[in-house]
Order: sequence, then structure tokens, then C-alpha cells
Amino acid sequence: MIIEQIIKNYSPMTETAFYILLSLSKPRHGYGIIKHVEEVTNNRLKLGSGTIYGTLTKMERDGIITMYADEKRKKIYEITDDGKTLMRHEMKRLNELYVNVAKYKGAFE
Amino acid sequence: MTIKRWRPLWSYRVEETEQWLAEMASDGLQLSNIQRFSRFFQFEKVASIETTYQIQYGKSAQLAKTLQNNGWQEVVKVKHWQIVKNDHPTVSLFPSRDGVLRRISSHQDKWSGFAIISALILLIIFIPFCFMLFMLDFEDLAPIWWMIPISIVILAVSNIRLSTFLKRQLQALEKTYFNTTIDQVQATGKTFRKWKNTWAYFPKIIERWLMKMAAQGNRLVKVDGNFFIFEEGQNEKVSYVCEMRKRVEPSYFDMHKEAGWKLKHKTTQHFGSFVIWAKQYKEGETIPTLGQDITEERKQTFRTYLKRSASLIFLTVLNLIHLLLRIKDYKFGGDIGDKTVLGILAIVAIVVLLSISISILINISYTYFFKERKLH
Repeated sequence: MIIEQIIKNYSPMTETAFYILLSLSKPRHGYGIIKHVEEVTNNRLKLGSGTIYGTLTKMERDGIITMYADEKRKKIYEITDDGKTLMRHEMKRLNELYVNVAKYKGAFE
Repeated sequence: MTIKRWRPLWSYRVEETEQWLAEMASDGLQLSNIQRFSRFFQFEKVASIETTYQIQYGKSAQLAKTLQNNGWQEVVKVKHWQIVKNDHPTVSLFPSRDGVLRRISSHQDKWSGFAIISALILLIIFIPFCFMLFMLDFEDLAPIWWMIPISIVILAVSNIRLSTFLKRQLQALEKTYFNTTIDQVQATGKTFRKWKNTWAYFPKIIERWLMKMAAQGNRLVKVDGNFFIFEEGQNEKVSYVCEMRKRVEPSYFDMHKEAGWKLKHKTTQHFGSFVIWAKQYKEGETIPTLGQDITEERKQTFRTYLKRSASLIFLTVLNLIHLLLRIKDYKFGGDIGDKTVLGILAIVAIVVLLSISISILINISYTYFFKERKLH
């Protein structure tokens, strides 16, 4: 899938997809992703293994992530270059949101 | 110097092909290209080397950076196929098998369908063909009359053989790469069994029933065919999740097992795989779920219901036609002889079969529409 198509399909990203990709700042096992998401969201977001499995399968099919296996045949997930481009695009969008929140939050207090 | 080797069905014999490529490299023949349609592998004569090969498949199949840093490199890429190799003497990380397994599994589904049609064709064509050979003088027949049935028979037999070959390949790969071991529970107390019709399997109903049994202190030990074996004990908080999946991949089992779910049961039927997962939780905690896609889950249950109903409707219509033809041929008021008794017995048998299929159809339709759907 070409990168423009990937961005069109995935952005704006769901919170689940965003945090899964964010966890792949380094390659991780499936359960490692679940634990990392819990850690960075202070246990607010607890992802079910079914959610992770479904999202990762779709992302792998679209070439955003790739996977390999260790000696014990456990799966390790890694973000691809296309996945990194998608994350940069999404982070830019979220940054814009953040700037606007900071700028206008006073009006809603 | 270029050398070509023909290797039919290589994409189904993946592990064998990888081993063969390694042996070729050890003999000084390095893979340089694959002709996808003619199934020819092209090799270049080089120095002998010990190499590990692996075949990857997928629309987006690509080599992870970590794998590249660990010595893996692409040798050939043809359409969705990627052949990679690693010249290091010890390899600890390997490309994923999921794509290859997914492809073989999907092909096996299709070929098993063709195999069933082929078997029916064999029954329809082969038996009359044998009769024809016995009844008629073979020499009087124009070649076309025996060539067509023979070609169809050869085609049908090839379909059936390919389907069984694929099934064997898939089973071997699954055995190696699927962590489908059932998490066994040793029963120390009194056990008892409950019968459930797993053919008419409704995931949400079974889930609720298992959780109710656990709350009453009945721990699920194992599922043996249609029997659920429980052990009497103390009340437990256990969340059960029953899933009906069209296709299961290696990472499906790994993911749930890593997250602490115990695999209680897995069975593969023609309509898909049924899986039962269990996870204990404490008082006050939220009931653990897999967090699967609810819409997809609903669709899968409905699809399975449709397939079952369609097969029952087919059986009912077949029995009904049979019954009508029998009744039409039956002469009332005739002599009561052996023929009449046999005729009556045949009609009774058809009526019994008809009632069974209609009652099952009503039962599963009622259960699906009035019980299962409400639980989703």
C-alpha cells in the first residue's frame, strides 16, 4: 500500500492504534505492547489481547509493521519505514491539537 | 553459469524447499531467480556455503530492520514472495511464518471445496462409466465417449489428492508453529460431565453457561468431544470467552496465552475453529475480556448460523423430494407383500429424517434469534 493511502486510511488514528504504534518505538512482543500502553497511560488504557491481535494483524497486512520470531518462536513486532512516516504525520497533527488546546483552553474555564 | 531446476508445488512445500535451497547452496549453487509460473528455480554456480533460507509471503512482506542487522538479506522477490537468507552459522531470529501459513490455509479451504465437488462428480460419472464399460462393447465406442469421463476422473482425483496433500502440509506447519497446547487441569476432586451439542455451537450461550458453572464451584477440567468435564470445588471467578474463527494464525494463540488466558478447548470443523479461553479474576475486578471486535464477532456467529441452516435446508428439501416421489410411486390397496413393507419402511425412515432435520433447523434458528443474539 502506498504511503498516501496508508495516511488516508489511518489518520486520524484511534487511541488504540496510536498507542500500539507508540509502543513500537522499539521492537516488542504482543504482551510487551499491552504492558507498555498501560505504563504510559498510567493504567488508564488496558488493551485486550483480542484488540491488539486484530489491530496488529491489520497493520501487518498494510505494511505499517512487520514481525519476526525469536528462538522460542515468540512473535516480535517492529515498525516499518512506512509506519514511522505515518507516526510522524499523526504526531504533527496531534501537536497542532496540543498547541490549540494550550492557546484556547482559557476560554473554556 | 546458470542452472535451472523445476520444483512443482514449492509454495506448499515451504520447509522442504528451504532445506533444498540450503543443500543447493552447500553444493555451490546460489539461488538467483524464480520463474513463478513455470516453477523453475534459477541458480548461479558459486563457492559452497552453509546458508539458512526462509520463504516469506505477504502483500506487504518485508524484512524487519532487526532481521537485517542479524544477517538476513533478500535473495529474490517475486510478486508477494520474498526469499531471504542468512549466512551466519547460528541464527537466533527468524522471519515470520504467518504469511505462508495464511496462504496455505486459504488455499486449503478452496481446494477442500473442489475436492468435495470432485468426489460427487466421481460418484456421478465414475459409477455410470463402469457400468457402461461392462454393458457395452468397448470397441464400438468412439474415443470421445471414454476419453471425457477418464479426463474428468483424472482431474477429480488430482483435486482430491491436492486437497489432502495441502491438509497434511498445513497440519505439519501448525504442529511446529502453533502453540495450540491445551492448558491441562489436573482434577483431584469429584468430576462429572455435561453434554452440549457443539455442532450447534453458540459462543455467547456457552460462555454464560461456563461462567455460571464456575460461580457454582464447578471448574471446567476439559472438553471431550461433546462432553464438558467439570470438577466440583469452590466458587471461582473465571471469565470464559468462546470464539468462532474462520481462520486462526500462530500469533492468535501466542497473544492470548501471553496475556494470561488459558486455552481450554480448540476444535476445527468445516465451518471454522471453535476456541474456548479462560482467565481467573478476583472479586471487585472487572471481568476480563479479549476485547475482540464485536461487529466481527456478530458477523462470524451469523455466518456460521447461515451455513448450518443452509445445509439443513438442503437436507430437508432433498428428503422432501424423495418422500414425494416415494408416495407418488406407492400404490395403495395393493397386495401386502415384501415390496410393500419395504416401501412403507423407506417412507417411515424418510419421514423420521425429515422430522429430525426440521426440528434441528427450528431449534438452532430459535436459539440463534431469541437467545444468542440478545447476548451480543
